[in-house]
Amino acid sequence: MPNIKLKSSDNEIFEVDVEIAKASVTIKTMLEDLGMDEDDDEAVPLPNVNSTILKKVIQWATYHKDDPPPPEDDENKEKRADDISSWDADFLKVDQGTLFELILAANYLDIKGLLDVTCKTVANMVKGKTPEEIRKTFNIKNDFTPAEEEQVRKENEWCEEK
Amino acid sequence: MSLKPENVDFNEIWSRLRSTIDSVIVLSKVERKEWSERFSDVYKLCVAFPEPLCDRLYAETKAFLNEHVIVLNKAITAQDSATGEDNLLVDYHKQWLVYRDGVNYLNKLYWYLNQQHIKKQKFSDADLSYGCVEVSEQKLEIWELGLHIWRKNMIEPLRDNLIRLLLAAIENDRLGKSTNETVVQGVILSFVNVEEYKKKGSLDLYQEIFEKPFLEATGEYYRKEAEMLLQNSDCSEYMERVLSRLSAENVRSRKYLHPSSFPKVTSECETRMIAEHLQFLHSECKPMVLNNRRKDLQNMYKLLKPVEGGLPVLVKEVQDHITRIGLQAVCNLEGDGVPQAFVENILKVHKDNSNLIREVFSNDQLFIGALDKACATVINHRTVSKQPCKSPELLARYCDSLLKKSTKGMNESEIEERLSQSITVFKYIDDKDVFQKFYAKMLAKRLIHTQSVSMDLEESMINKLKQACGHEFTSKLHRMFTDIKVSEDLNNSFNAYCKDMKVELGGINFNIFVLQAGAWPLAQGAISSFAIPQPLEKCVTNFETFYNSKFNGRKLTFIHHLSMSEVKLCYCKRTYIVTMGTFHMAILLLFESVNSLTYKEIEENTKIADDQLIKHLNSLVESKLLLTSLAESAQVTPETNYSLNLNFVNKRSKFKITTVVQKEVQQQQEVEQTHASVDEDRKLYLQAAIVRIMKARKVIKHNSLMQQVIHQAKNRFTPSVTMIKKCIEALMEKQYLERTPNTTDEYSYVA
Repeated sequence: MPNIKLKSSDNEIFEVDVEIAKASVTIKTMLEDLGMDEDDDEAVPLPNVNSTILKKVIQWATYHKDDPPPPEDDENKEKRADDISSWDADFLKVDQGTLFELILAANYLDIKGLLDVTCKTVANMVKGKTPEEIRKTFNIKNDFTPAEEEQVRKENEWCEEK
Repeated sequence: MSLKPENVDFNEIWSRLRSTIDSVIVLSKVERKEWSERFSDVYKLCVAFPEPLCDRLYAETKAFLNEHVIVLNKAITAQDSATGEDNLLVDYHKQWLVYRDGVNYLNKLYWYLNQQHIKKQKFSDADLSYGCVEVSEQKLEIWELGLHIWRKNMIEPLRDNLIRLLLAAIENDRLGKSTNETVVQGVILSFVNVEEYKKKGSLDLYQEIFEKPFLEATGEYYRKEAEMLLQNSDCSEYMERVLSRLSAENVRSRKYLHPSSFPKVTSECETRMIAEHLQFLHSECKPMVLNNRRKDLQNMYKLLKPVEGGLPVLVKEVQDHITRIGLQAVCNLEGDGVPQAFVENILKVHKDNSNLIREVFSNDQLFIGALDKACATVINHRTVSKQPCKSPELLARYCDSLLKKSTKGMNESEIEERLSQSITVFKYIDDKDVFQKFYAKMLAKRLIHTQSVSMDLEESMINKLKQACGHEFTSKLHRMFTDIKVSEDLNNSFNAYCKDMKVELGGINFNIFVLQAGAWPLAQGAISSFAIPQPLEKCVTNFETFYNSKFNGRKLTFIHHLSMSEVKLCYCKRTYIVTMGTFHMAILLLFESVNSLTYKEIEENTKIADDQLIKHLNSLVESKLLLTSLAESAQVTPETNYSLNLNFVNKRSKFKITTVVQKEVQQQQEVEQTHASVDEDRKLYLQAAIVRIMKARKVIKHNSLMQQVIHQAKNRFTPSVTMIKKCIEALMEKQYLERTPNTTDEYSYVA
């Protein structure tokens, strides 16, 4: 199968199988024939994705290249966050910064499977935690005044676990 | 650069983007690097910090496209006024093709904007159908936006000119002048393509600006065309031409139009050329049918079929015609072969017209229905309205002639085929019970006198009738048939019985049919008294003993006048074997010891009733076996003398004596008897039906009862209203039902 070159923001060139690259709808769209001269040697520039992240993305896409296409989002279907495969779980054992970069990349490159699994990972990090713990996890500064906090707590009392 | 939201300078990025889309929209070359990098520019604007800039990007792009199309429009118009309008279609088409593709590529570039921004804002179907939002407020995906702008800034301003030119081009095509098909089709379909993204009413624009005026122009064109054709041609030519115009216009539709218009165009043409001239076309139907102008009829059918109210007149003409020729074919038949001629003529009419309907009218149900109605009319036609219809009798006689042994030289499969065909006629007969009566009589004769060509054929015919009319209809026929088969076994076991018991029958070969009285149409009244000749007595008594030992409580009645015997004459110069009736034999046996006897002596010895005896004596005299003193046509007296003709000579050594029947009169009587017995049966059938209905309904209105009775009887015959009324009265007399007190038209069942 033909390969194409992808160029990261820090000018590193990655050569990947076209089919794997097309897991990204954005790259797939870019590659669609424009009526321009075919010049396969030229790299596709991705000026907003750095090599660390691009490498991870390619790694993920290569592993998942034979997956069936993800089902369309169904409003009625219950969404779950506990169905992450063990390979994906291992793959996502990275620092928070990388995880967030991956989410952004998955969003920009439009790779639904990757976006789903990264977002689920973040969701799992939030699940079951108190606001204070969440703030600690994501290093968020508490910008509520105590009065405001009391107000919000009251409004959301109904969904507190007892 | 990274994927994180950043504070960006819109103008800087937009100017980069703008120069790329400038090239994209006119399909000129864009470097791959440039193209790919613009994706990240679009992304950057959409996720800009602190405020996303997608609305601004959308607005700028919209302005860009607006301006682009306005410029294009101006260019086309300017070129047009310079070179004359002829090129408008070509220029429009050329620009459209480029623009359409350009917008598609642009749409790809704006992928991120479409996905993340516009699709999320789109109104759902529910929003739209509840009408709580303004459709015009909705943001469109970039390609939708592009198409929308094309419509607004290109199609709308050019609309009148475009349509005028398109209609002119198509008219040219109709007149056989050359037209640039690709361009015309392309322009017309651009009206569809430009709205294709809409979920609802995507054909509205096409229909409003093009289809409507086009259909009007088409209608007008063919209205004039029809008038012109009518002036210059007769009906045959007119139909030919209309058909060719219709098919040409059909081809033309497929060449230029959106598929949704095809049926509309056809229907418009049909209205103008057919529906508006129905009266003329209908007036031509009759002569066409009369003269069997198949080609014309076929064309007429094709023309009238799609038009509302088109066919019935033609169908009616066909039906009347078939009725007319059918009646011609079967009325006024005379001579010997009336049944054959009747059935075969009907079948010919049926076959000819079935073929006609298949070949000319594509087996259209309406015409098949007309054929059925016409055949039913012909077959149930009464020459004299008071008399019963003759068809059931004729058909039964026809079947009889096929199934009776004769020297016609048809093989079994030929007979079988004709029998199958006669079922075709049978199905049309209203008075099926009359047919059944006649058929049963003739079947009885064939079976008793062993005259059937083949038992297989008999059985297959009964089965055919069963298929056509049901089990009940043929149950008697079946029973007759099984009687004959059972009798065969019975004779065998009687012979075995005689052997076992050492009974001697005096050298007589004895064969008997035991028939169930209820199943056989044998007139009991015709049984005459009879003294069984002594040589036969042994057979009869022995058989009775045998039969009674086998079946308890059954009564045997001997029907001598139907029996046949084979007698060997040994007193002449040659020996003759003569087949004759039992009565004949009894008379001849009297002459064993004497040569001459008076009528009185014969009568005393045989005990045969007068009328029968005279008949049988006459036939013996006729065959020259007996001589008489009686002058021709004189009355027989008790003293009339009969003597044995000892000098009897016959060319054949084997022959048959039949009772001389006064053919005409007797047959006439028989027919009348049959009809009388049919009437009797009908009364019983109707009474049974009425009682059944009353039992189920308890109380019923007069009209409703009538309807149900007629419905139940439909399969066998069409009962007359007077007969049903008589039956109701008879049942009231017998106290099966009564009028419901205080009503005039209601009956109730008396349990």
